[in-house]
Amino acid sequence: MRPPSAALALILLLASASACALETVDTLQSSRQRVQATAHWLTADADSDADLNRLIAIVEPIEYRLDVSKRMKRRVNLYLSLPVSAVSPNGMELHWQSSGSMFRAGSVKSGSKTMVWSGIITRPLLVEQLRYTVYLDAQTTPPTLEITPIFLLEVLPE
Amino acid sequence: MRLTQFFVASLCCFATFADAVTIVIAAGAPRLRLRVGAAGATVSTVAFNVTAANVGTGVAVNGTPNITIIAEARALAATPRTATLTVNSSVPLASGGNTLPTTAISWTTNDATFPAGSFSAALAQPLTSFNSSRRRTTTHTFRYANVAVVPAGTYVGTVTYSLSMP
Repeated sequence: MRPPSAALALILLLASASACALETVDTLQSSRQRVQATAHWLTADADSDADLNRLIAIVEPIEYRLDVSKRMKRRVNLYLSLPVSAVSPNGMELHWQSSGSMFRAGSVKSGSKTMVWSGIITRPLLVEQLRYTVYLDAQTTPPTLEITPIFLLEVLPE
Repeated sequence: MRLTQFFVASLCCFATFADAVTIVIAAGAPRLRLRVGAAGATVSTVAFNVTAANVGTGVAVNGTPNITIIAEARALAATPRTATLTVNSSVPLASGGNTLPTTAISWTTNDATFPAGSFSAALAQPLTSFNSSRRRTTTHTFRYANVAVVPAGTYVGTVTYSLSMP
């Protein structure tokens, strides 16, 4: 009988190979590469201890130009991901609204990803404007924070 | 199990994203909030009613109503601050040309971190200090010592509380 630890290692390898189908999407053609924002206290008067530490930053709209030319005619899932940063996953949450009809609104915590679109790529550039709202925890937020949302493409089998 | 899968994926797929859009977020200013009694700009009044027969007997007289004080200081944990609550009781109560020092008034509290005491007639008498991000709430019951024999009248004065966080 195979010991439990060996079985676990085998499962991890399979999962790793499958997850690597994710590709980082080139956003070099996007309108701005660095955007400034300021975090403010979410509530003027904190009514609870949780409110004492809640911050919000509203980010000016960013126009993304996603180069997906290499995956023309392919069926894909597109994710928005927030790579792990100095802020703990529970301390930061990124919400977005899309000005277009293509990407769905959603939210993501650092260290995870959320699907924003699924379909067949019919044009080399996906252009969409996103308005971000960032929720932060004053207990874990540094004086200046840089976050880099990235788009991940999962190419589905034909 | 799903969490483990994700971290494995992170190592092999998030290797480079130098071309991504970066959002730089600067923290806003620290924030203070102080409420003494009623909300807004209203100045709450505590009244002590001393009957003619009891003036100067040394039997203390409680004031009404009790006053709730809410002091709140917010700052990033990475740059903590210390907030200090002070009170200015330097101007005595007055009735016409007669005065009563504010030192005749003391208070008890329902919060040990907000100690009981009496007004010192100082410009900035420290009452309590606390670190951000915290909120302190206490209810003070005021008391007039009623030791001095003073002319009859309605003595009115104002004490001003200030919360600061250098």
